[in-house]
Amino acid sequence: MNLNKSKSPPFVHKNARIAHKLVYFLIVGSQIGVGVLGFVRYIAKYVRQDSWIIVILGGLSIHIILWMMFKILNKHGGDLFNIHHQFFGKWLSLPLSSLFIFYYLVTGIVILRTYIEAVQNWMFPGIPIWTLSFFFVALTYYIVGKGFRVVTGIAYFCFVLTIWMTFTHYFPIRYGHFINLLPVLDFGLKDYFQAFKVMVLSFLGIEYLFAYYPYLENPKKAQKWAHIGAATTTGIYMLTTLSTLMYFSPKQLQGLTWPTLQEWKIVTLPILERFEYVGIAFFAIVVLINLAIALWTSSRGINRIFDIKQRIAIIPLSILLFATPVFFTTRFKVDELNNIIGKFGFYLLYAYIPLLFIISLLKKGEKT
Amino acid sequence: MRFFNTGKSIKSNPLAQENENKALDQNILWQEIGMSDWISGFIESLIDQERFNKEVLCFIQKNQSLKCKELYEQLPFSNKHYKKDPDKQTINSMVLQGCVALKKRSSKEMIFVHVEKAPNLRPISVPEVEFSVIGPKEAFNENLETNLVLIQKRLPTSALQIEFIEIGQRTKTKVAILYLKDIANETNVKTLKERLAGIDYDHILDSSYLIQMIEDNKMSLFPQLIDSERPDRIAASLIEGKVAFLTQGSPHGVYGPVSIVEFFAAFDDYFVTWHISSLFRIMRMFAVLFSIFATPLYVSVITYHPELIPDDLLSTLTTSRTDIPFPPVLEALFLELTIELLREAGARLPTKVGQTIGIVGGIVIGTASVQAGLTSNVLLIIVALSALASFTTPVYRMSNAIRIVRFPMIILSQFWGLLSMTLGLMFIITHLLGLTSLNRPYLAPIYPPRLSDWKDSFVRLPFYVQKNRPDQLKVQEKKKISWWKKRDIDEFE
Repeated sequence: MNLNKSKSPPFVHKNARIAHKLVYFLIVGSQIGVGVLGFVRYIAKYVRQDSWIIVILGGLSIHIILWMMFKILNKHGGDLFNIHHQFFGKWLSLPLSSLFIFYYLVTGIVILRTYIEAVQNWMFPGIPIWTLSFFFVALTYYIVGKGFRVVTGIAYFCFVLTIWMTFTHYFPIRYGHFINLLPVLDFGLKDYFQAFKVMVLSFLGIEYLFAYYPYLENPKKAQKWAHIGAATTTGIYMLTTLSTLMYFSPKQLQGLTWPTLQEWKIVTLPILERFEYVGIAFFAIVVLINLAIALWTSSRGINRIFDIKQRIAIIPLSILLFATPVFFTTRFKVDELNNIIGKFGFYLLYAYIPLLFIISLLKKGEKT
Repeated sequence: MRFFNTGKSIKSNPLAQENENKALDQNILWQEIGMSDWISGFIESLIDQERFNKEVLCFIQKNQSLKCKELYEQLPFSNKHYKKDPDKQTINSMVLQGCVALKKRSSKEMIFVHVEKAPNLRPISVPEVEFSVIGPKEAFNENLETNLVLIQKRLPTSALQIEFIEIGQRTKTKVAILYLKDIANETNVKTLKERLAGIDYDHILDSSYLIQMIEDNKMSLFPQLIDSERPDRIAASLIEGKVAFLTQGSPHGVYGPVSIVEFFAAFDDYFVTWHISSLFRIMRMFAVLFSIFATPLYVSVITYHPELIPDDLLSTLTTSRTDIPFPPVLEALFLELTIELLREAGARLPTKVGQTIGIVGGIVIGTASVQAGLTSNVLLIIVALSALASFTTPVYRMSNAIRIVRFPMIILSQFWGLLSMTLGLMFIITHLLGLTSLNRPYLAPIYPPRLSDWKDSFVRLPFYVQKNRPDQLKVQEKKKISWWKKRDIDEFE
C-alpha cells in the first residue's frame, strides 16, 4: 500500500481516455436518476406552483459549480484526490478523500434502493430486495470491470435508449391546465430556499467529474459539453416539473409518491395500453449508469489513495452496494437516506466546492 | 526448407521442424534416369508425371554431360533450387511439396524442380451463402492461388501487398495476408500478422479455425471478424483499408477490423440503388431486434404485464391461450426448440430432402401443436417470424449468434418480465461495448459515436456522399473520391 500515490497526478493510458464530447452523456447520465420520477413533490411541498423557478435556479447554480470545478481541475491538473493532496497534505487529505469515496458509494446505494422501492410499489410488490439488488450489482460489476470506456458507453446508450421518454410529457401537458402555474412568485424567500435545498439532491452527479476528469482526452474542450449536459438535465427537469404541476393540483400532488409514474398512467398508444410498466423497466438503464459511475468512481478513489488495484477494489465495494439496500426495509428509511445524502450533497456542492475554489485561487497551479 | 509457389522461402516453425517425420523418405521414389548417371526422387502422387517426362527428363537426356551446378543454371524452370549438400530433412520437405529431386550419382549436390501436379479442384462457382441477384457471381474455391488471382484481378495495383505465412505444425497451411500498403493502417496489419504468427497449433483446416484463434475475445458469442466467399467483398474491404487473409484449402476469405453493423450489410447492397439498400438494411436491423426480443416480450407481457395489451388485442390473445396447459415460458421454449430442430435437420440433410423436411415439419408440427392445444397460434406466428427474421442476417456466423442470444432472453423474461429483459439488454450492450475487432471498437459507428461513418452503416447513402473511408479504421489515406462537384441551377458544362 502506497499512501502517497495520490501525490502525483494520475497517469491514464491514451487508449483508456474518452473523447471530450462524451462527457455530455456522463454528466446527463449521472445527474438524472430515479429522482426524476418523484422530485417535483418535494419541491412543491414548499413552493407549489413556483417549483419551476427553483428548477431554473438550481440549474443555473449547477453551471456555476461546474465552472468552478473545471477551474480547479484545469489549474491543478489531475483529479480530486491529487488536489486534496496538494491542498491539505498527506494526512489531512486521507480522511477527506475517503469521505468522498464513501459518498460516491452511498449515492449508488441511494439510487439503487430508491429504484427498488419504486419497483416494489408499482410492479412487483413481493419482490425481495436482495434479488433485484443482486442482479443490478452483478451487472454493474460487469460494466465497471470492463473499464471507463464501457462506463461511458453505457452512459451514451442510457441517453439514447431513454431520452424518448421525455416525450411522454406530451400527454399530461395536453390534459393539464396552464392555470395551475399561476400565480407566479407567491412565496417567501425562506420557502424558496427550503425548496432549493431539496432540489439539490436531483442535481447531484456532477461531482463525479472530480474523479474521471483525467480520463477526458481534451479537458478544456470538454467543459463546453459538460455545461451543455447540465443544461440538458435542467431542461428535462423543467419539462417534468411543468407537466406535473399542470396535470396535478397542488393538494393532489402531495398525496403522490411518484408523480411521474402517475402521469405515465394516461399515456396510451395504439399498441400499448399502460405505459408505466415500460417506463419503470426502462428506468433500470438510468439506474444502471448511476450505479456504474458510483462504483467506478469509488473504486477509482481507493485505487488512487490506497494504491489497491481497481479490479480488487470493486469486489468489496460491490458487495457493499449489494448488501446495504437490504437493510433499508421501509419507505421511511429510504426517505431518510435520501434526505441525508441530499443534505450532504448540498453542502458538498455549495460549500465545499466553493471552498476548494477559493483555496485554488490562492494556491499556485502545478503544471503537469 | 519450404517454399511457396512463388519461390519465396518460408521460415519454418522450429517445433514443426523437430516433429518432422524423418523416416518418411521411404515414400520417395528414387529412379534412375535412363542412360545416364542422374537419379531422380519424387512422390508419384504429388508431381505431374507428364510434365516431368517431357520437360525435365528430356532436358537431362540432352545435356547428360553437364555438371550439377551447370545443369541447374540451364534448366528452363523458374521455380528451382540448388542445394550443395542437403540433409535428409530438407530433401523430405522439398519432395513433399511436389518437387523432383535431381542428383548425380557421384556427387552430393542436388537440384529441386517444382513440377507439382495442378490440383484437381472445384471450378469457380456461384456464391451460395452470399448469393446476389445482381453483380458478379464468382466465389472462392479451395485453392489459394486461384483465390489470390480472383482478388488480384480486381485490384491491379502495386499497392496490394500479399504476404505468406505457414501455420499449423502438421498441415503446414499456407495463409496469405492481404492489404493495400498506401491505405491500410499499419497497426491493424501488424496486429493481424502478429496474431497469425503467434498461432501454434497442429492442424489448420479452414479459415474458420484461424478466426476462432485470433479473435479478440474468444469467449464471446459474437463473431469479431467477417468471412466471405465473395472475392469482390474481400476486394472492397481491402480498398476500405481493412486487412484480409486467405487460407489454403478454405473457400472463405476473412477480413477485419469490422464493426457490428457490417454484419448486417449484404454485399448486394452496393449493387442496387441506395434507397433500396438503405431500406433493406434498416429492415434487417429491425429483423434482428425482432428476432431477439419478440418471443421474450411475449413471454414477459403474458406472464407479468397483461395490462400493457390494448383491449382489442387482449381478446385475441386470450382466446388463443385459453386452453394452453403450460406457462408461456415453457410454451415459447418448446416452439423455439422445435424451430431450431427443424433448422438443424434441414441443414444436415441434402438440399432437396432438407427443403421437404422444412416445409412438412413446419406446417405439420406447427398446425398439429396448435390443434392439440399445446401452443397458441399467436406465439406460433411470433416464433416463426423471429426465426425467419434471424435468417435475414447476411453473415452466417452472426445469424447463429442471434439465434442463440434469444434463449437466455426468454428465460430471463420469466424472472421479472420487462425489468429483467431490460437488464438482459443492458448485459448484451455492455458485452458488445467491451468487444474489439483487431483492437478497434466493435460497436464503432454507434459508440464511439462517429456520425460520418453512419453513411455506410445502418443506411447506405449514394456513393458520392461517401467521400471518406471509415474513421474507425484510422486509414492512411482518407479520401475515397474527389471528382464530385455539385452543379448549380442552370449551370452546364
